[in-house]
Amino acid sequence: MLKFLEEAKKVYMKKNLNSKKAPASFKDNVISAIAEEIIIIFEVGVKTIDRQSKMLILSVSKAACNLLHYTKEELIGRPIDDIFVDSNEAESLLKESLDCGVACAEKKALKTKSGKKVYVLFSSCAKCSKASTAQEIILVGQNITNQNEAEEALSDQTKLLQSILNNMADGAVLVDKKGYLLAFNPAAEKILRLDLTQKDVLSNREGFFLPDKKTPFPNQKRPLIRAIKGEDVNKCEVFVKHERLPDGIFISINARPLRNDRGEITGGVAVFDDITENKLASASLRESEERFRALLDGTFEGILIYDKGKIMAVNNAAAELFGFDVEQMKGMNIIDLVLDENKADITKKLTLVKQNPDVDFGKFETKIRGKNNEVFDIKVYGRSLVFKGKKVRVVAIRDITRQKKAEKELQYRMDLENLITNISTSFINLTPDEIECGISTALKKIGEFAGVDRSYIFLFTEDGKRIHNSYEWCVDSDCVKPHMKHAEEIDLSKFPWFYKKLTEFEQVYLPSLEKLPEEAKIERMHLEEEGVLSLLMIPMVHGKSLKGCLGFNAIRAPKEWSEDIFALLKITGEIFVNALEHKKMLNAIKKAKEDLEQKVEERTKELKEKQVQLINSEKMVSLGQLVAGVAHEINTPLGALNSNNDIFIRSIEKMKRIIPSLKNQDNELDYSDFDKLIKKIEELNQVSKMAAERIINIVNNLRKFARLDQAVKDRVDIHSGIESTLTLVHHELKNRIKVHKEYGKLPPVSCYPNQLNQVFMNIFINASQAIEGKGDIHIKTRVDNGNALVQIQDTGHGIPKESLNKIFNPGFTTKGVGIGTGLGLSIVYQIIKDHNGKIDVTSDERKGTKVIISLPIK
Amino acid sequence: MNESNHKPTIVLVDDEEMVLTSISSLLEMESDYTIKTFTSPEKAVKYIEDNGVDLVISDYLMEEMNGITFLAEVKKIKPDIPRIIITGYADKENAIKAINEVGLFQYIEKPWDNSDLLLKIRNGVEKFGLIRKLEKKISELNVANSERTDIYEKMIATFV
Repeated sequence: MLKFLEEAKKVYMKKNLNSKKAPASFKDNVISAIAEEIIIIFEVGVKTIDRQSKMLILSVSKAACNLLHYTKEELIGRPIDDIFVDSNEAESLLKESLDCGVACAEKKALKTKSGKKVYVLFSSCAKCSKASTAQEIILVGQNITNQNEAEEALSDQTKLLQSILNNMADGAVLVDKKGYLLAFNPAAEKILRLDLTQKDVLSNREGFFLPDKKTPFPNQKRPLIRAIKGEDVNKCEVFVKHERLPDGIFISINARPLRNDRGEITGGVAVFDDITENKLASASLRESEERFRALLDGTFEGILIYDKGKIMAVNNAAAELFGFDVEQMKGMNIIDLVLDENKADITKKLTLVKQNPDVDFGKFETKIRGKNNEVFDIKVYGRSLVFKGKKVRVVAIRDITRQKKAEKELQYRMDLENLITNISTSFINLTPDEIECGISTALKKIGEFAGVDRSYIFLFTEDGKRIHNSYEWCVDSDCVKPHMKHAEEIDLSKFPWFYKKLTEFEQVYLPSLEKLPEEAKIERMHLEEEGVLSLLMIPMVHGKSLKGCLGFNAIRAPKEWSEDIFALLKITGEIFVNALEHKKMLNAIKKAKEDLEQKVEERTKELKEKQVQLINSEKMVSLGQLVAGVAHEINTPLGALNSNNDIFIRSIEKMKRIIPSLKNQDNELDYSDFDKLIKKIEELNQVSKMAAERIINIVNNLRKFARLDQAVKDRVDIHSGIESTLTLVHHELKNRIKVHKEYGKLPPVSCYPNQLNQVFMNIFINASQAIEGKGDIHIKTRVDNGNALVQIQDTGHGIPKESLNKIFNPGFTTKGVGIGTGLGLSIVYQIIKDHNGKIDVTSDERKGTKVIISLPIK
Repeated sequence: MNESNHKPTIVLVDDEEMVLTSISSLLEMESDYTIKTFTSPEKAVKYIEDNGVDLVISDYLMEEMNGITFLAEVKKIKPDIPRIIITGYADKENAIKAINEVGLFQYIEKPWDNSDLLLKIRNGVEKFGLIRKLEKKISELNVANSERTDIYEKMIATFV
């Protein structure tokens, strides 16, 4: 940069020198051109071609041809425009010449035959003729192509330099070796709020005030002075404050001495920029970093900041948690902190996040090995953060061990409650048959929950002295085998200490066998045999009696149980006991129900029989009424018939008395026919009389049979009843069955006459149906021990032995469907029973059936 | 009053013609009684009211009027006349109860025996006759008695 400045100075000087020159005369030009051995001469004349005036080349110098690479011949006659890059320039140049006679030296661009650009410094002079219509000009030029290039380059450089200076954001200031301000760029002006023009110069050396004598040139640390003295000053920070910069700014100055070719210091140059913002920014950054630090250290959560896996910073809490120092942890890899088993998982998570720097990896839980090699449960929150200028990851770690512990406990509690509820509800819904299965399932559940090797339940007998039933669950392992056979009966007196505890309703808790007292020798031996290391046993009580016990065994390793487990066992025990009692009750209810049902069946049977009887008696009533009606209806015509018949008889008697007297009077008449007639009439009258008597008999018997006064017990002659009944069944018996009567002396018997008639009727009908073809019925009556005995024997086909005890069953019939209702003998039986009598039926399939009815007389 | 000439009148009431015919034929044949038959109890009541009747026989179940009611009527107007009821009604108990209430002379069941019937009728008539005779005698006796009492009183009056 400084070298550049030096060059710029040179050029600038040169240009100034150049510009101080006055325009050269034609003469001078010719001389100088000649002096330089390059004469480019064009003689140009105006000719009119096609009514257009054109400037044509009349003659050229050799140098001109050489320059443009044309031959003389090619150039002559050509319009001068052709060789100018810009044809307008040619015109203007020539015009000027024409107008003024001369033209100043002007740089023009010409083009060679090949089109390359060359630069010539022209002077022109018009060749005047007296006529003043001279149109000829002489152009004399100097090849300044190289110069031009150099100039242009220089000019470019200068422009560039200028541009740089003008456009730099940094301020640049140039001073001479005395420290006087030579120049400054716009940026310097802006930054320092200079109020100067380029021409002002630093006048006051003291304090290096800027030309306004007010603006102090920043001189703390005196960067420019030092530069002038030959020092290379780098990044000197200086604070500038003046009336236009009331708040002051910080600038950072780089200053260098300016040296000429000989190495002598000719001045100094300083470049500076405004670092106020940066300073402030870094100050505020520092501040915020401090605050950050404070926050970090103040918080209870562990904070880790890492970048690409490496820990950049931790706070005290994190260090404390992991058991390291803060410094120790810097540089550690974050993965190293994680528990081995979780490493893979966490690595995956972090990788995912690394790929998406903007993504939060949210929160998750994991375990770490912290100080004292303890395992902690931690909750991790992470996100990205800008720290010390970099985008890093920050994680906050919270020790949730306690929380987790509490959660676990709560879960445990809930599980316990759920287990109990589960068991309890499932038991409620079990039928008595499912209870066994339910107990096994429940034992398994509580065993697994409590983490024991064996859970069991023993049920005792009513007297509480023996185990009579047991249920067991074992964990699936070779060392643990079931130790009780299901229905094995064990006398509890074999384990007196256990027995004592249980009967006193105390639980037995032995985390180890050492806890057993001296007296429990047998129990200890037994447990050692079984390989039981820990035991928990609680009694199951219902009401005030010991029903059984519920226990846990630990076999593979000793175990301690908490109050919760005691409670679990106790509750489960209660549930079991209740369920079992429930089952017992249900069974009892079932039995009672069965008994009741049976009773009901019996009663129903009785009622049915009674109903049948009732229907029957109702039938009887209606029958009675029917009979009464019929009897009554019959009686009147019967009365008339009977009476008339009697009158006929009497009339015949009378006639018989009259006729002999008539006969006496008149002997001659033949009265034999008349006699015969009389005899016939008499005969018929007898028949009518008998017929009438029979009808009367039947009607009477019918009435007797269906007497309406049933409710009244009467003293009747059994025989008359038998007789009436016989009359009624006469048609069943006639010509086929002979009735033999052997009546004893029977006093009147207190009874319901029509009911007894029914009895006899039934027996007679049965007898008549049993007798196929011809047979006999023997009726015998006698008194026996205060009872009237009626024996009716038939000669029918009898009753088979196996049916004999069924004959009185309602509905039992051998007569076939539709013929017999099977109710006859059951009614008979009931009637006899109502009379406090007895009925006995014996039968011989060869001889027939004998029915003996015994009725108390009183 | 000429007793020997008196021909007893029997009133028969039954809504069944055949019964009336039968019984009246019997009585005509076997007795001297005058028989009056009625199918309508009301008409019978009228007749009894207006005429001298020695015996009334009635059926129990009749359309117009129950036999017992009829005979009760008869009892009201001429209580001395023996009343006999013939019933084909099978309910003996109730019949007997009714008889006792009304106070009947006899009760006969259908179908009846003619000889039995004749006997009962004769007895009834005889009873009635006897009662009448008795009444007559009593009234004669009363007359005589009163005469005697008269004389007695007169005698006493004379002496006292």
